[in-house]
Amino acid sequence: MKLKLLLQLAYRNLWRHRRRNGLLMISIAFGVAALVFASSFIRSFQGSLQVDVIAAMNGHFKVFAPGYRDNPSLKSSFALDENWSPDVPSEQVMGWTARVALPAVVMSERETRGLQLVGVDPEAESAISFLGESEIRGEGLKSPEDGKLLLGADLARRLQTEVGRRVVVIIEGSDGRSREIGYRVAGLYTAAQPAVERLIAFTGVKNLQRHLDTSSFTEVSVRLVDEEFEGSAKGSMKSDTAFSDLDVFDWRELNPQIAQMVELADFAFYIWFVILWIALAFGLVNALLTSVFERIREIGMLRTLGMRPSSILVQIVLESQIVILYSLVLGMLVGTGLVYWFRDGIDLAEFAQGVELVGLRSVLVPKLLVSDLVRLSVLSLALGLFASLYPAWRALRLRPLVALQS
Amino acid sequence: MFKDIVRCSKLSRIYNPDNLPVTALDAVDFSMRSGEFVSLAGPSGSGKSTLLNLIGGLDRPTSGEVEVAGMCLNTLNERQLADMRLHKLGFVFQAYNLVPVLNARENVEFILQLQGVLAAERRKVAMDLLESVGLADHANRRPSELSGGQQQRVAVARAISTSPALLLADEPSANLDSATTQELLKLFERLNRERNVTILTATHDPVVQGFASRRLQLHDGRIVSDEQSA
Repeated sequence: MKLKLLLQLAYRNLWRHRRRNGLLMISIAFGVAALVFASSFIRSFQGSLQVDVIAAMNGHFKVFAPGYRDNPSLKSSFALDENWSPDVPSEQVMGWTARVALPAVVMSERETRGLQLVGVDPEAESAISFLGESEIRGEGLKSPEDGKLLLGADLARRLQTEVGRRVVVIIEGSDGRSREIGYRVAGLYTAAQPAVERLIAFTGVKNLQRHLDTSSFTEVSVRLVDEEFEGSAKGSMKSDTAFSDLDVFDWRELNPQIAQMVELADFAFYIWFVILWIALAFGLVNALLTSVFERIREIGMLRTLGMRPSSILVQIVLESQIVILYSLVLGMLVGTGLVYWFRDGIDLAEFAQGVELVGLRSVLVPKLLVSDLVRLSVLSLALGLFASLYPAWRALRLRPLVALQS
Repeated sequence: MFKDIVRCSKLSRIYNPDNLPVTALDAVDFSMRSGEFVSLAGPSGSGKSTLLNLIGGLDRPTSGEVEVAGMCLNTLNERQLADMRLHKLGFVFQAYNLVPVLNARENVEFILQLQGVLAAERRKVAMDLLESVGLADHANRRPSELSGGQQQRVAVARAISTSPALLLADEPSANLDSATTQELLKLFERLNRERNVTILTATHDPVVQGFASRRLQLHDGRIVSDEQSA
């Protein structure tokens, strides 16, 4: 009941100075809106990084033979039962595939380049990697038996070759000897990550195995429906008897730099938040102090009538919390509106080369997370409480008689 | 009931005891019985307000003891003093001192609300009191929408809303015109007579002293006369 009275007093006191407190609320709301908008792009950056790296043939997990990552060759390959499938609930698995991926050299009539030749099952590959969504000029691969080559558009440009032309790939077979395989370029794919487009070429896995005189694979990739299943799925993969002598890596272990950038994006939210609140806290403390000093006599009267010092403290804290609550609602409405306004994304094409260097797509689509809004609200209210302690302490220190006589 | 509502013994208050000491009260012995209407008169600086503040637990004596409704105020901490003021005392100030963001009814309810009285009961008490001070029609007006006299009547209603053991009034008529002062004093007289409210008021105004049943005169921090009205 007393809290209701304190709330009533705090709320009405705020509206005694509509202009001052209104401006304060608008300035905090502006900061909150900016943070909501900025965090939606941080999340977009974070999300695109993560999705792209998972789609860039990593999946959530990859299985390799020991030594393969240091020296990729068929010496570090493994056999896989035809009937094998991941020991993870099927509803948690988006798909999986086994590949043969080996370093090779590709020669066109004019250029020679190093690349990674990857033998894939086109259907399974399309279900879990970027190939399924990639724009392909020419033809895609039709089956694991397909003997054509799918080149990245960037690599084709560097090789000065085209769809329908022939290239020669030099690659090491299971016996350790090099083979020269002639391929016709079936199509050119595009990928979000320029490095993928520049370095990877695809062909049918069975066709490649035949050329290399092997039935082994060099990697298995599994992609999950959602990241939340990652922990339990990794456990199942590691305990899978089919992989007892093999190494299981998640996408973070495979791409530590990208994983660190994803984590940094979380940190960026807090940096923005601290910068915002350093600026706003001064305004809030100033407004609350002014409000306390204007009401010294009134506070003295309340103390005289029997209001406890702690109730005065609660009242000042409530005033700050109400200001922040209103500001949060207003700021989030504006911020969410801005995110909605830019829902189709911001085109960074002008800076495309620069942004691609840091792993960004040229179009950033804002992504608003409820958890970010909750976190922003809780942290703002907590900091508002902290900022109100000094004004509240000043109010507490007032002796009723001195305050009454002021 | 307590025999004496207020008992002060050898009560002294010296300001700036270390540098230029000023003796506001000098070993005052004073007591008040329940139901009395006492006025404290004297020139400025005679110690009226100091005595009122010490009895109200708003200031602490330099020496001597003050006891209100059986409680020795010397031994109470700030929180206990606040509780004592909330439950035992009513205050009427010279400047009315209503809460500006609350309307008349809410102001009267204020102390009841601090005491935790339920809303329905609070509202009934507040409306009855506003009725008895002639302001039932102004219940929803804020202090800024009331005249000085009306604000002071609301302040009186607030002060007696919890039936305090003692009503302390510091120059309650100082900001009122003579007609309004008469109305206020009649209200005090009626509350004292009908509700047995014990009143201690500090005043310069001889009209206020005329309404009191007992008149104390202070000079240089000492009680120089103590008269009962006929």
